[in-house]
This record gives sequence, structure tokens and C-alpha cells, in this order.
Amino acid sequence: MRNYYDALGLSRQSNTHDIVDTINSLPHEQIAEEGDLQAVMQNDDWRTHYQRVHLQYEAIAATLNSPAMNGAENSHSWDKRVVEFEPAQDTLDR
Amino acid sequence: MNVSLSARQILIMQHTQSTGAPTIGALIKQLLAASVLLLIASTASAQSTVLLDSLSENKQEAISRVCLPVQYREGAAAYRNCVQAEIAQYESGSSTELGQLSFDDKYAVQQACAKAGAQSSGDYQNCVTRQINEMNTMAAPDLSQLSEDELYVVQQSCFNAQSNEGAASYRRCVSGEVASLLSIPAADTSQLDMLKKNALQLRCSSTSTTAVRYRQCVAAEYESFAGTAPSFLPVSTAAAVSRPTYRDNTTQPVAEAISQVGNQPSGNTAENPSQAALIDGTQTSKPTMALPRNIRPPTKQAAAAEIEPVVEAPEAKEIIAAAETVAPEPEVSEPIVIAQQTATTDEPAKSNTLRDATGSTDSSAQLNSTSISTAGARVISRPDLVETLELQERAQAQGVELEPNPNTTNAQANTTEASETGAPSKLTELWQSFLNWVASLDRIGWLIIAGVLALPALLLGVFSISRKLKQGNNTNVSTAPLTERIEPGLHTRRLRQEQEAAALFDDDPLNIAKAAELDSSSAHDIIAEQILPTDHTDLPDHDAMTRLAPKSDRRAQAQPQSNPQPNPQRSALADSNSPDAVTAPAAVAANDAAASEFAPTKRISNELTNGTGAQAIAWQSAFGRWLMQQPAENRRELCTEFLVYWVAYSDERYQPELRKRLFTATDLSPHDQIKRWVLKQDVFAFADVIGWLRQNCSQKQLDQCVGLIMALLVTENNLSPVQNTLLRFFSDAFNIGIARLEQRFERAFGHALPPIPRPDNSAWWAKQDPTALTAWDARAISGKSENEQMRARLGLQENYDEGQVINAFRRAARRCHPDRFTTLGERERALAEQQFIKFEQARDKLLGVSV
Repeated sequence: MRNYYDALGLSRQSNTHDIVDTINSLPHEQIAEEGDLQAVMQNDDWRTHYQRVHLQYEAIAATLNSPAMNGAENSHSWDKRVVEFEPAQDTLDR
Repeated sequence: MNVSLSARQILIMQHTQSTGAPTIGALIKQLLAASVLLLIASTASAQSTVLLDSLSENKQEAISRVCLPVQYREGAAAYRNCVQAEIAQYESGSSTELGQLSFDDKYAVQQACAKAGAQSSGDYQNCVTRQINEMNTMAAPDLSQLSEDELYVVQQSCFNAQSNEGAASYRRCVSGEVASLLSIPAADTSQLDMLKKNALQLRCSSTSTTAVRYRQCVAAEYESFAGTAPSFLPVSTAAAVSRPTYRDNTTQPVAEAISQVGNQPSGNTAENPSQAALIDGTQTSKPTMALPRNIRPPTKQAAAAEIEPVVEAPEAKEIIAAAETVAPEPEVSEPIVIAQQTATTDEPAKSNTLRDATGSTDSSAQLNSTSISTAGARVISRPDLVETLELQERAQAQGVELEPNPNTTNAQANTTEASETGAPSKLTELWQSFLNWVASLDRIGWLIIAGVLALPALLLGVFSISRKLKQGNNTNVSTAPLTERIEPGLHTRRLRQEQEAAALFDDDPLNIAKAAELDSSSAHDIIAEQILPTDHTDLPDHDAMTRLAPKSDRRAQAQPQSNPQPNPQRSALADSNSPDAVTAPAAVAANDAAASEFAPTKRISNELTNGTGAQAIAWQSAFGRWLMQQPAENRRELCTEFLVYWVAYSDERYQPELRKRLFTATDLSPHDQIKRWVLKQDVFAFADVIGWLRQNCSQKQLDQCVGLIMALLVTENNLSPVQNTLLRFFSDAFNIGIARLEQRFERAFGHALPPIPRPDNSAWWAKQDPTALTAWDARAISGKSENEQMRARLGLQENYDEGQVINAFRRAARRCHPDRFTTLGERERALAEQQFIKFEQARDKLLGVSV
């Protein structure tokens, strides 16, 4: 799945205003390249569910890093699906 | 009695005139026709009847014998005239008394006078009178001392005289034949069985033209059967008579040879007497006891016999005799020519050869088979045809077959139905009967037959057209393979579902346990009977998911000197699993497709150990450390609780005040602490939970953990993208397998698991039902009416009915059944029970049931 928040340089908790501003500031070439970014991120309903699934992909990406996942099935090619999702850092200190 | 006798005579006459073989149907038909004619005649000749009544019974019968044939052939008026003429002649004392003659004498008289004119004419009557008077000048022969076969031979010998020379000549001939016959002793054949006796008589009757020769032949043949020569005949005579002839360079006609034998009663001509004794009678057996009595011998009998040594099979000898036939006089009776096959052959072949397959190689002493075939063609009058055919059938039953004579082509052509006996004869009769039946069909009959024949074709055509029309209308017929159109194991799953549902609502604990057992066992069976899908990912979407490189790589590219210390575990995963994904998205998609095709159970490989060989759990979150501080017996429940809250809160299924309370409170219970970690969206805590469950729970516990999430959070027809994504990931992380997950999901919710969501793709959104957005929003549903909330709880549409409510509730209740969470704790089972109560409330609300 595409990580639009990462493409925009925003966090998942960004509000609509920030997202729209960021999109408007992007060059047209990049907007054209990221065709679905604008459609998904500027639609409140779509972005709401995208945001929720975005969290899951980030969680999955974090899970795949666990050595406990060695030998787990990967019928969905999760490692490839979450290639754009990487948690910034662990939360050991939080 | 007169009527009965007349009918028989009429039948005889009809047989004389008909050309086909008599059949039962034809006989019945002719009998009916005769009856009608008799009725007409009796009506028309009432006056004659009155006159006949005045006569004695014998006279009446005599006149009837004379006039009934006239009636049949010439009509009622002729019959009346005939009767009147007969009465007048009787009263005048000039009656010919033709009717009082024997059948053979009468036949001779009628044959002699056939050309004198009509039977009612004076010339004919004068001829008859003259013939009778001439005949009466001779004493009637005494036939009482003759056997029946001998009588037949005598009649056969005199048949020419009977047919052409008049009654007196016929009687003279018979008297002479009888006298000659009685001059030589007769062989006593009573010691022979019926088969041999018939064979003997048949052989001799076919080869003997006179009664004397017949009796001689019988005596000689008897020697061969009995093994000893009769004492009254010289051995040489017997051998000569029965000696088979051979074809050699000196061809000798059979008739001539037999004549020579007959003329040499004491001659020493026996070249090899043993040959006669070795003749196998069974090869030539044919009963002659019932042969027609008035068979005409051929007037031009040119019997010829060829003696031919059979080089290829010296043990089989054959004698071929030929005879020509003369067409009979058509006026008296229309004779048919029946190929003379009474000498018999074994096979209905094209020759008269009778072969024995005993295999003897000695052409003289070892000769144990002699085939005799007489090619004489007999002219048999029609009245005897029925009897002849019956005889042939009996001969066939005894193993004797008749076959046509190649030397008598004319006879063969005219007597097809009579020359073929046995099975061919029956076939011929059947064919003739069929032809007669066809000929008798009228227009209505033909229409009926055409209708009967056309009905199957019509039905077939209608069926074919209807099928084509049906196929033409159904343009949406799936062309997919059958294995894809029919889901494997669907029937089994449905059956098990019904059993489980029945057991679920049964208070009997045994049934409940059985349902649980079915549930646990069915999964394995279903998986076993299924063709596992190669890949359950939506591969077309892969082109968009790897467009960007991993953040760490991009970060490294942007800050090559900063060395941000990438996560070593993540690097290990990237190195081992997707090295190409970073730089070649298209290649990744291709590899993914190829790998998914051949590796349905791809596995994640994170080879990080703690140095002891066992996989080490490297906690990534504070939750992991906190979890290890909890009692060991509670860790699994806490992890399960974390996942439940994670799935629920990811869809914001919580009150906003909860978030505020949890983040402001200082003394939280373990459950609230879990909620707070979840609300903090700590993905590393999520990773730690998954890792801990994988390493510390049994497979059954993992299965039931996923089942609990499905029971508590998922509703029918309302699987959110978050739930869909997480269930799929759980199936892989917990080694449940996507196939089993799909099976369980469909069984639990009554519909298939939707494809993996792609909310980053506008095309995926275009495929979604707009109402789904509202259904996925739990907060939006909580603000609606109670009825709508209850309907959403059971996953029902607006236009639901009672049956749908019941079915949805049954599925929901099955999902929440405590037996499905036997490996989980009391808290998990309590949550499931609470959810079941909610489903009950929804059912009661929707059904209008007041508790």
C-alpha cells in the first residue's frame, strides 16, 4: 500500500488543513505521478479509512521486524506491501 | 360338416393360387375371406341348398366336393349351376360321382380333363365320365401293405402319369409299382431309431425313382445303419446302391449308376462295401414320413452325378446331382418348384455338398463321411406347400438343412422361400410376412406408421431446439472451469454448519460437544478437500505499493553522512525478503506474482537468535517490558485483550471521553493500561503482542483468539478495511492460513471474505458501496435509532425479513458460542457471552419479541 503520509512528509495525525496545504504545495509533476494521493487524501471519508489502514500497515511493518515472526506465513507478501511503511523508532522509552 | 369341408377345400384352392408363403396372418385373412364368400354363396344358393337337402348325406357331400371349388373360383351362380347339374345328373343316373373318388384319383381325373373346358361345361363332364369309366376298368391297387414312405414313393413314381396321362394310366402305374414293390422283401427298420430311420428313408426317397429301387435302397442303407447286410440282399447290391460316387475322370451320372445297380441285383460290383457301412446317416437325415404325397417328379429328370475326389479334403466326398424341372400346368394348380433338397446338406451353402469334418484322411477305407446331394428339383403343388414347410422345419430340428441346388437355377430362382430352411427359412417367412403386411396396409395404416416413426425424431428435435433456446437466452453462462464454479467443500461446510447450528440450539451437552468437535475437525477436512489458492493478494495493486523506497533507505539517500542507525532487525528483514523491492518495483510485482503462484505458504524469515539457538524476543515497546512484569498466567489474556482493543479502537469504536480519561489518569488497571497503549497507536506494542502470542500460545489458542476477535467485533456485511487487513495479517502471523481464514469467515458470516482492501487506491474506492462508509463508522451507527443499531448489529439490510433475522442471529450465536473459546480464559468467554446477549437483544428487537 502507498504511504501517502510519508510522501507528503506528514504524520498520520495531521489534520485536513495541513494535508490540503501540502498537496497544493507539491509540484504538478509529483501530483500527476501520485495520481491517487490527491483523490484519497482530499476525500475526508476515504482519508479516514486510509488513515486507519495506514496504522495497520505501520503496525505490520513493525511486526515483521520481530524475530518472533520468523517462519510465519506470508501469503499476502506483507514484506512487500509494507515496504513504504517503517516506524520511525521503537517505543521502548514511551 | 359341409361348411367345414368346403372351407378346407377353399383353403387348398387359395394356396394353389397364392404366390407367397402361407403365414398365420395370411391363413386367417384367407379364412375370413372364405367365410365371407361362403356366406354370400350360401345366401345366393339357398335354392340349391333346398335341392341338396332332399338328397342323402353322402350325395350331398359328393356334390359339395364337386361344386364348392366351382363356387370358389366362379362364384355363387356357377355353384348353383354346378349343384343343379350334379343333382340333375344324379337324378338321371349319370352322375360322375367325382366327389366319391379318392383325392389322388380325383386329382388325376381333374388333371386329365383340365383342358376340356369349364367344369360346368358338358365337355368337361363328359371327360370326367370317360376318365372314371376308364379308371374303373382297372382294379384299385391295394395300398394297405405299403408303409407310408413307400406309398409316397409309389405316388411319386406315378406322379407323371397322374398329371398327364389320365386316371386309368395313373391307377395302372400305381398297381404296377405296388406289385413290383411287393415282389421284394422289405427291410425291417423297426430297430432303428427315428433319426436314423428318417435319414434312411430320406436318402432313399430322394435317390430312388421307382418303388423297387426305394425298397432296395432302404435295405442297403439299413445295412449301413445296422452294421450288417440284410440277408435278403446280396452284399454287393447293398453296397452298390449306397456306395458313394466319386468324381473322377470317368464321370458317371447317379441315375445311371443307380439304374445299373438296380439292374444288377446279384452282380458283384461292390468295390468297397465298407464305404456304404461308413456312411454317416446323420449327415443326410431328413424325415420323409410326412413328405407330400402328390409330389410330381420332374418330367425331364436329367439327374447327373459327378464323382469328384476332393483333393483338399479327401475325407469328404460329394455327389452332385442335377435335375431339371418342367413347369406344371397352371390351370389345375399353380405348382411351385421347390428345389429338391431332401437329400439334405449340413449347411445352407451354395452347393449341395455335405461335408463331414471328422478329419479322416483315408479316401477309401477311412472314409467316414459321404455327402450326397441330389440336385433334383421337385414340383410341389400348392396344397402341399404348408405340409412341406412343416416337414422342412422338422428336418431342421433334427439337424438337417436344405440348400439350393446350383445346377437348377430356374428352380432356385422360383423357390427361394422353400429352398432356404432353418433360420434362413424362418427369416424368409418373416420377411414375406412383413411384405404381406406392408402390402395390406391402407392409407391410415401408413399414416400411423409414419407418425410412430416420426414421433421420436420430433421429440428429439423439440428437445434440441428448446435446449438451444435456453442456451441462447442464458448469455451469462460462466465459462470458468467447473472447479472454479463449484466451490470445493461447500456442501460439506453447509452440512456441518447446519449440524452445528442444530446442536447450538439444543440443550443437550452432547450435541454441543459434538458441534465443537465438528468445528475443530471440519477445518482440517475443509482445507484438505480444498484446492488451496496460490495467492490471496490482489496482485494488480502491487504496482503501486512499492513505488517508494523504504523510509530508511530514502533517509539514507537524503542524509548519506548522517548514518541514522537503521533498525538492524528491519535491515535483516529487508535483506532477506525484499532486496529488490527497493529499487525495482515492477520486478517486485513480477516476483511477487511468480512467487505467489508457486509458493502458497511463503514464510517470513527473521533469523535473529539470542545466541542460544532459540529465537529471542527483542521487545520493541514498553508494553513488552510491562507484559513481562505481569503474572505469567495473565499474559496471554492481556495480549488477547490488547488485540481486541487494537482492532476495535482502530475503527474508533470507543468514546472520545475514554481517550481523555486514560491519558490523564495516573493509576490505571492493567486493562486500562492496555487501552492506553492501544489508543497511543503504539505499533511496536502491537508487534510485541504478536510476537509473544506466536511464541507462547498453541495453535488452537491462536485460532480461538482470532475467532474471539471475529465474534466480538465483526458483523455481517460490515467488515471494515481495518478488520479485513488485520484478520488477513493474523491468519499469516498465527499460521492459520488464508484458506482456512476464508473458510471460517464464510461459515461464520454467511458471505465470503472481501478482498484485501486498498484504501490508497481510488479504483478500489470506486468499487465500494457508498453505504459501507457509514456501516464502517461505529460512532455514526451509535447515533441512529435503536432499530437501525440492532439491524446493523446483525448485519441486516433495510428490507430484512424474519428469516434473515433468525439466520443472522444463528450465525452470530454460533460465533459467540463458549465452546469455541475453550482454550481462552474466563474473561474472553465472558466477553463472548456478553456479545451473544447483544445479538439476542437485536434479534428480539427486530422480531418484535418482548422479553
